[in-house]
Amino acid sequence: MIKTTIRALLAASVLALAACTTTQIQETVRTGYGIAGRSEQGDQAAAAAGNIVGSFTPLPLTQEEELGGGIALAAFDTIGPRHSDENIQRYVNLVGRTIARRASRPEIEWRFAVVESPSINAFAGPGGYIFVTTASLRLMENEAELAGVLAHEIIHVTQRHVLKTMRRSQFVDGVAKGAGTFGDNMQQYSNAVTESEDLLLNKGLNRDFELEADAMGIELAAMAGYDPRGLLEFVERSGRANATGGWLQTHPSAGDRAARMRRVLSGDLGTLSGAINRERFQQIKGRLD
Amino acid sequence: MNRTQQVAALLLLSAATTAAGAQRAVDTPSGTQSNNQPAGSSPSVQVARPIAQAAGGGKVVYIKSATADIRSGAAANSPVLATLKKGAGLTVIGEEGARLRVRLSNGQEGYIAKFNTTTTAPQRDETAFASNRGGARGAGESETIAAGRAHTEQQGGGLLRDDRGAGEQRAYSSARGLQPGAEKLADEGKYSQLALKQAEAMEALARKIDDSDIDAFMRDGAVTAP
Repeated sequence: MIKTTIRALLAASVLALAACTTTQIQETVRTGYGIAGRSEQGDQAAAAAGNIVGSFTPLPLTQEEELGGGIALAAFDTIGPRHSDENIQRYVNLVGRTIARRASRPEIEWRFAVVESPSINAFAGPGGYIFVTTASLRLMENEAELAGVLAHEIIHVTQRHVLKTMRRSQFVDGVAKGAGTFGDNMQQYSNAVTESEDLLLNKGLNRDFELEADAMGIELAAMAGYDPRGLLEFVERSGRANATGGWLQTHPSAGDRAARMRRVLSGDLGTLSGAINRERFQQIKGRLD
Repeated sequence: MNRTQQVAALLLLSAATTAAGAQRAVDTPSGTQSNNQPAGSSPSVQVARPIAQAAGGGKVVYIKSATADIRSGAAANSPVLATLKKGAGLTVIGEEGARLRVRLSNGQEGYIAKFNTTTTAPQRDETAFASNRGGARGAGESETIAAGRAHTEQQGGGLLRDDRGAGEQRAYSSARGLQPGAEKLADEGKYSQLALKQAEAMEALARKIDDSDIDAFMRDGAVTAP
């Protein structure tokens, strides 16, 4: 009986300690990636090193959607037009929504678009706007690879990676804290969209966020029922594609990403199988031309 | 339950209360169908009750994803016994490869993929977000509650989403669209009218796809959550 009681006490202590530690870690991460200024050497190093001061307050979803909608306009003007084949668009939306069912933040209304572009790329705007280029689809071999890429992008949204990386003006902070909306000041809103666009399409997000999106994306795709190796296979192939720009410009190197993903897959995840759906994907891919 | 077990249960109750902060387990109305349920899954949604399960003496794990299926067998295509929400606790009673054999709060036993569980008790990591939603959720409410609310949406858009603040509620399937600021950016010439039309087409297609379409898509491709 004494042993049982001791075991119970230990269990209670461990639970309480675990809760405390986790809370502290979360606060550290939030502060570390919080927002005010950036070093001249680059946003990514500064953020990763925790040099950025201030605290991160999430935006209300409607305001995230304001930014995401602006990103959508930028994507269609800058990256390329939305592909005209509605079967392709519908298919990509269905794969994305299948995965999104298992994502956190179920309040998000997800939209996916295929953009005509020779650049291998995929990116996500706040609020649930996700884009993948035709060049990416052409490089993919099966639905599991598409699922892996979309899961990576979904994680960027659910983890609010853009919002945590962008420089936040006093105005944006005010919107986050409920003091107003983007509609109150179009100039400031426009600036915020421009900055988000620059991050997504040119500078790239924090390297740690990209690696987090890989690791969590693999899990998410697996939770949705897809083969968890899809993202790894696509990233490795894109690394061999000898391409420039797009994902290769805004993400860590394919080699680094692949090495980290292999580590993730060396655990229980790697023992799981899931849907691959090569034939269904190839039918849709055939419509690109 | 003897006295020792009662003490153990009380201690675990205290520890888990600390771990979960002010998290509340909210009963989902009986028979409410989850909006996010995969094809073929059970309509019953279990509620997070980690404490009662911990008192049984087994290791407790918690659901990591927004929802997760508990299956009757270790195979990925085994029938779904129940769908649990993020943070729900389960008592581990065994292990088979990549899956855990678990006991639910109603005594049923089933299987779940290990990677979809964590030994860390749920945290209130969405608290700040919740308090930013026009006061729709109190600061002490957890993501479990948020997920529960969203999942009670009626298919077909009959119910308004209740996780938005007053004045910003929108029907799930009828009023979604580009936010007004984005439209104004195009009207003011920052982006083209063609881009605006394409963004609207992106929104419109998303509106056309409902849960039954996703269910059918998953069935057709044999996409089954583990």
